Amino acid sequence: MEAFRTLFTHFEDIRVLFFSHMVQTSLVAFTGLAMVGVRLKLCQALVVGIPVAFYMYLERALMLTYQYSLTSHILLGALGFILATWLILRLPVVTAVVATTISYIIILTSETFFLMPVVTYFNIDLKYVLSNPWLQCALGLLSNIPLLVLGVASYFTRFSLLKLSGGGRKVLVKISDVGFRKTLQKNEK
Amino acid sequence: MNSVFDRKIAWLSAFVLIQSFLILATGFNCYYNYKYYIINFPITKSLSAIILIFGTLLAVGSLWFIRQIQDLADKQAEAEAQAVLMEESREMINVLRAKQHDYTNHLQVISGSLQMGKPHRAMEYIKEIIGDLALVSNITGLESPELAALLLKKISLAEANGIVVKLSIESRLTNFPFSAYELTRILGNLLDNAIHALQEDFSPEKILLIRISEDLRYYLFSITNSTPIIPKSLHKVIFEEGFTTKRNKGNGLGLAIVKALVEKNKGQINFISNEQEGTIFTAVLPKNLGD
Repeated sequence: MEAFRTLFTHFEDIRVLFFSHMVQTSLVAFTGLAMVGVRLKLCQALVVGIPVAFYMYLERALMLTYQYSLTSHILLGALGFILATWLILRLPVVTAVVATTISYIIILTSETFFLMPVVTYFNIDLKYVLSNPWLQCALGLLSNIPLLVLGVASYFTRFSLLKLSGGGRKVLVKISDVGFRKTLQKNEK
Repeated sequence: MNSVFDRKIAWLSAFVLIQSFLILATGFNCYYNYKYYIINFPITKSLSAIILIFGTLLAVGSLWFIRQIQDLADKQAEAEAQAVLMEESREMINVLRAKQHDYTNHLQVISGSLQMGKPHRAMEYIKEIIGDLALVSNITGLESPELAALLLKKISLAEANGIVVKLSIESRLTNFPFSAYELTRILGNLLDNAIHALQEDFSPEKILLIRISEDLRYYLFSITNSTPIIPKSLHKVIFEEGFTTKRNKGNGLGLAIVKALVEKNKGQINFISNEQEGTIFTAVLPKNLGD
């Protein structure tokens, strides 16, 4: 019980979950898969992003509770993403691995060369950031800008780094092609 | 290999990316743990910065590397598609040569009928030839020469086996957005199956109906063989890999490949099989790939 109580105290503010984690996880799914040539619709990105956001919320609380390293936190996050992409979208594992890795490389690079210089330049104390949910959301969103730019660019230009197989996209077809099925039924008649 | 990455190359890319990601994550951990979180982190600031920069360079380099592999794979796929096009064109020329040879015979028959003073026989014969000419003209009017070559070849094969071929081309497939290579694989497999099924059947009337049409949003390709009928017990397994009714002649991949290619292009394949209509396989492909 004590462990649960300690864990509970380390949960971030709920606003961070909704305004930072969910946006970031949906963007990671959307842009990562766009980079391997699998185009998601917004609702499909959310279908992956929302459960992973809850997972990240829990995982960050665990990190703060047990003080394990940032590398472990990053790897656990990536693993969660790979599993979610694989299980929810039913994409091949290799597609999930490559898409997630690309997204994480973009995030880490943007945090290194975009977010942290801003934090250093304005001399912002990270402890203060962690205690202020809106500031945490704002900085979180700042680090997502490169992902957002790449995702939007890829959406309009259909650019992708790789063209990996979408495999058996049973869930994708069900969500996105309702009108298509009606046309099929008409053609059959 | 087509433009979709070969599985081994995809795993190689994953391996390269994961390695650079791990180094980048370690660099990130070293640098920012040193800077912000843990006080006694056993690494100097400059060394952690070097690891971080090295990890970043490696990550960017690996993205560039896999992009180059993708370009090579695309070029290889393009070369293979060109080779298929060449082969199809060669076959189309052979079929047209055979037709030309047939027409020489037809002209001799007409000339003979006229010399024998039987113009009505000659007229009837000409009417028959016009039907054949219309069929060739319909096929060669398609925008895709690969598809035209395939249809000419398969129709010749079917007719040589005593199958009556009926063709309904209501679309010339102008601005068809899909790869000709994939389309010929889809229709080639469906036509092979239909011709094989008709060949094996003992029915006196064997009809193969090929229909190509389009509406505002979709292209529709339909292949019908009048007989045999697929038993209901097989309907669920017909698209599964390894399923075949051709015994030793088939590997059971044809329809599975067709299904995969159609779904890859966001289309759908389905079939009906009953006594009244025969067996109809229909592939529907959306005009706009974004649909």
